[in-house]
Amino acid sequence: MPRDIGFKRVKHYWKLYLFLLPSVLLVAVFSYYPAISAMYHSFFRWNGEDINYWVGLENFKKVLGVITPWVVLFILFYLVIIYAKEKNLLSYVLRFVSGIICLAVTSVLLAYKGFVFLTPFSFAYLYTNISQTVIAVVFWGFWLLVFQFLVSEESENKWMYLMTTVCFFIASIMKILGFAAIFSFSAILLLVGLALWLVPAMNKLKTIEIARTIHAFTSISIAFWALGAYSGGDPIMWGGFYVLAILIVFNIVKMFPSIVTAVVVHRIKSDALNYWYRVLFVIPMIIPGMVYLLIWKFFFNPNEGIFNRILVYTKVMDVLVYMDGILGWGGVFKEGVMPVWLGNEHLVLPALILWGFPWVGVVGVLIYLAGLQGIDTSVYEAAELDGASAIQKFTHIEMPLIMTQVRINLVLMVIGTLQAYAHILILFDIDGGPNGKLMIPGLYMFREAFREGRAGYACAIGLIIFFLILILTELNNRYIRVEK
Amino acid sequence: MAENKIGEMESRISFVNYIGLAILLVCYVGALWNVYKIKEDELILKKKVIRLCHWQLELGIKDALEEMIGRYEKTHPDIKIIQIPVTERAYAQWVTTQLIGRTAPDLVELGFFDVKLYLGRYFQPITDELRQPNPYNKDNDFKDTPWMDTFTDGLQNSYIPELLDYYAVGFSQFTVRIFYNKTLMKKILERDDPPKTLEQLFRDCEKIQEYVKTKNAEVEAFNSKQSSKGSSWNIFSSPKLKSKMPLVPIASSRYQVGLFRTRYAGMLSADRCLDIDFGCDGSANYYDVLQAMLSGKLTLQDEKFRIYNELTRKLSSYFNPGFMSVDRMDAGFSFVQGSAVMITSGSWDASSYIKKINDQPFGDIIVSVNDKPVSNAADASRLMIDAARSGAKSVILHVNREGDVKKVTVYPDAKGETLWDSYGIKVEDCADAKGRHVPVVTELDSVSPAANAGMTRKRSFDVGIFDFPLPTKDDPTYGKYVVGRVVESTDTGFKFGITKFTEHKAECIDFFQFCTTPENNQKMNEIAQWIPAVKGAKPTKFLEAFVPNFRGYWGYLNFMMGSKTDMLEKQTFWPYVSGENDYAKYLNALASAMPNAAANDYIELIRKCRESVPDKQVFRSFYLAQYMFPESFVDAKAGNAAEMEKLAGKKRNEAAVKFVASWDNLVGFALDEMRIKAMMAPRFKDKDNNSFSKAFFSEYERLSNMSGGKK
Repeated sequence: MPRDIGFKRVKHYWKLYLFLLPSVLLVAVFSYYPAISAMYHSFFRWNGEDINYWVGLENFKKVLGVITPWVVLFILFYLVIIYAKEKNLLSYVLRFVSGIICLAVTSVLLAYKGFVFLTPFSFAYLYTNISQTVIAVVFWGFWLLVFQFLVSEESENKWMYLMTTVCFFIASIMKILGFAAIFSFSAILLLVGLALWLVPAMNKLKTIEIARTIHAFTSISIAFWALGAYSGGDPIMWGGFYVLAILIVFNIVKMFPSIVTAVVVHRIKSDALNYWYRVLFVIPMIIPGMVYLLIWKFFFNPNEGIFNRILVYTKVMDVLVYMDGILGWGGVFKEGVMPVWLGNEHLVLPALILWGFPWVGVVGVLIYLAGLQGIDTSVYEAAELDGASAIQKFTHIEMPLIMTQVRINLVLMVIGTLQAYAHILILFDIDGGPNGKLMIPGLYMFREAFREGRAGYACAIGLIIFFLILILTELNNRYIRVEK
Repeated sequence: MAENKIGEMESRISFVNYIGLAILLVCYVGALWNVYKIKEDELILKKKVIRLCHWQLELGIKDALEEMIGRYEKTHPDIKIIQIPVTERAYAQWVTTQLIGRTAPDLVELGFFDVKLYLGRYFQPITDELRQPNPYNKDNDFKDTPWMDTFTDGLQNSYIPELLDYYAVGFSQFTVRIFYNKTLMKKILERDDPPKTLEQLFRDCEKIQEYVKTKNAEVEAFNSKQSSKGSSWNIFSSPKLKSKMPLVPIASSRYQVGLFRTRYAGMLSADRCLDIDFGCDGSANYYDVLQAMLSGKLTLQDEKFRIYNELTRKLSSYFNPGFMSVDRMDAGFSFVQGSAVMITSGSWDASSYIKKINDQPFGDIIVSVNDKPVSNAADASRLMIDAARSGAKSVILHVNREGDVKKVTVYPDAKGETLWDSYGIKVEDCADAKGRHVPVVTELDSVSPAANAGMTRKRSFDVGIFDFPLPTKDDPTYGKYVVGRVVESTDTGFKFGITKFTEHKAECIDFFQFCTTPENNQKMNEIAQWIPAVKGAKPTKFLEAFVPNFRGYWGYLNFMMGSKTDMLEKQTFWPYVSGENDYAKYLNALASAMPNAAANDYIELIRKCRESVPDKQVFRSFYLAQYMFPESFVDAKAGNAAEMEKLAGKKRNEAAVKFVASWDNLVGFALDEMRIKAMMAPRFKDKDNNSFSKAFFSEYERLSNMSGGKK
């Protein structure tokens, strides 16, 4: 921790501070001033220039709908983040309120507003939603594996993760039967929460507090989702968060190739080869991101692009056509027809996820390499003496010791995903592609500011995204811990 | 000790360590030089520098402007004009930012941004100058004609009624037509004149698709046969396979779909616009459409709306797959490469297409066969077939390939009876650059003796242009809906406005006048391959097909009530026209989100009426100031005191007229909000008229309550 410096010492080192002053001023003018200006203008109807009059919370009301529940929920979430790890009454109360009261209120309000049963049941509807069930099972099963790495305690939590998967699977079935997805998830989670808090036998479990904390966070997320969908806010804005959530999840998965690549490069015994591999990774950094984007746009061309040709050549296309028939994807993949990755409403999101394959990010690899190089060779020697295999070295030495870097990259990735929109603007258009599928909040903000001339409203959207990033960063800092 | 260490360190510093510093210094000096070169004219040579920005990156436009700039600078050595081309995608944002930041160029091409909103704020009126004759016309028939009347449309669309002034000068006119590949059309349809009716267009497209299907079936059969001969896993002896023909009847993109749709929407639904013209101004604008929907006079189930959308979708079945995911350049590329028979675009793309098509390989010109010179296709074919039939293992050809004569050895198939069978080529007589007819390889089989020998075929082709064919009255599907041909906008395009930040308004006007004489305007448009906008200037022969049609119907039925409904419409139309959704799903998607979008748009419309009134007040102040202080607005270089007095008097009179007119205008504009509300009043009294109006008013109330009851 740096020491406090008295004013006399500051005066003594005035040249140093004078040297820093231009940088500080530049940051203040080009970073802080625009941010403060955006916060200020979010309370105005502002066209970016001369039309600028006070409208108070109108912009926020337009985005959020009813403001009070949002504020309450935000404060609750923040308090849970701060106090959840404490073992005191306040922690219990906050988590109980989040986990039970919040969900109960959400469920009751949804029922009162009539958002419980949305789609009449039919076998045709069931058939077309079988794929959702399959995806739910695969998805939640995958998270079982993910938790093995992210949360430090292992076998004691397995029952909880299994229960989570089962619960969300049941919620998916309810959705398939026609219930509203939000109601399905909130009802099931409410039952789980009641079990966690009210069943006395649960208190004997060692990991009960972790389960209650995770339940609290999940419940608040469901409540946010419900507010976004039904509080009367801007539906375009909130619809975009669904896409962002999917992108964040997949971007987490896409962090792994960089980690693996860094480990492989790190383990190269020859110093010269190690050096050249690092140089080879750095060189592509000079290529502008836009070039990559345009190359991938070409890859995705249905007729000329290599992506479809590879799928055909490797027979993956035949598998996709078969799965389309079985799982009822609605003819997205048809025999003899090349799928239009950047034109089909159902394929644009997968295309965005697949973009950049094999997802070996240069910056990520270099950051992980830097972390790996900090590992002492004696640790490897000890592991070899113990007879550790290559995989065991990775899981027990390298991964834990680069978790700091993983955490940093996770934060940067989440921020980047929430803010980014330029690639969608280039690949599709300012309207967000087919059916506005990719109208994410960042793109919407851009459209409102520069196409519609509603810069004040765009600032309000930006401020909301900022608070969201703040919450997620705080969550990451406090709960994604590194056990060294 | 410390000193020793420092000494050691210093001795280790080598020359290599200064390389980075040297590179930095070189770059810095280079940057300084670059800045100096840019500013040299203005600061050192004391030239007047005029900057001009536009988004026209098409071939020929920059050259056309450079030609005009070059000519102008020759006669005006104290002036320098710099072009700043900005990509179309970023133009709106770039110009908006520059205008707001007061750093915009002197001349700005108008378009992509909200022109009407920005004109009053950032641009200067040029009405006075337009009313005087163009001094550069002093030696032709227009010497006494007011400058504005020398344009084909009298610059009507440059006049802004709300601001009572003219703000822009245009250099070209633009229309949209369909380009077609005459060579391919002749090969497939056995004729090279374009379809005259919509039914004929559909039949031609179907024939093209059938042709492609047949050819691709032959390719598949060949490939199956080849594949059965060898293993495709053995890369050293895998059989050569033919590629399928990627040809489509019409090349398209998101951009082209819009062109087809608006054209046919006009042809089929222009009459509906008059039905819903509540404002009685000859067009169905935003609040007319809203009124029509609220009163039930217009619904999403409208027959005309359905029919023109279905027509667009039927047309899209002849487009390249995935057309909505590609942009205009990709579609153009596809056409010039010969992968599509037709494409629609505007006259602004004509020169780009022609140039790129002509840059395609001309193909191998056969000069001799086994050292016997040939001068036409018939001789070349005969000699080659005879050589193959005589059992020759190889045939020596001399070919002219892009100006180089090359020797090509071909090993023909002796069993073949035709040139195609033996060699895999077709040879035809084609006119070369000098107009001589020479035998050229026009077709080449991708797996053939000629292909193995590395021969190339002709890829350039003849281009034709035709107007969008109208459905006939006898057409069973569309005939009863046809209204007539659409009138083409008389708007002079490629318009530039003069910003308020310029220090050289007189020079900007002078440059405009220079470029808009018949001679210069013709020259400029000749280079740009566009249509001139000035009377007396003639388009090139090729572009005569683009001359606008001034007789026809105006407008088309749509559901755009503002920016949100516009966005909704674009979003939902995409999967429908791509074939992913049927019409019912398209309408459902529109219907579910339209009330919210329409309510948002209506509230915005009212707000904007209010917000733009202060602008008009600014102008009133300006006219009042001109009236009260006319001397300040008269050019001080005018001359002696008497002259100045006379000019000031004239200025005062003009200002008085404008001040009075601006009052009428301001009142009219200030009443816009009241006028719209008055028109909407009957709808507010009948909120439950139909399902759309119920949903609309529910959303409207909700959104209004959010803004504290402000409506």
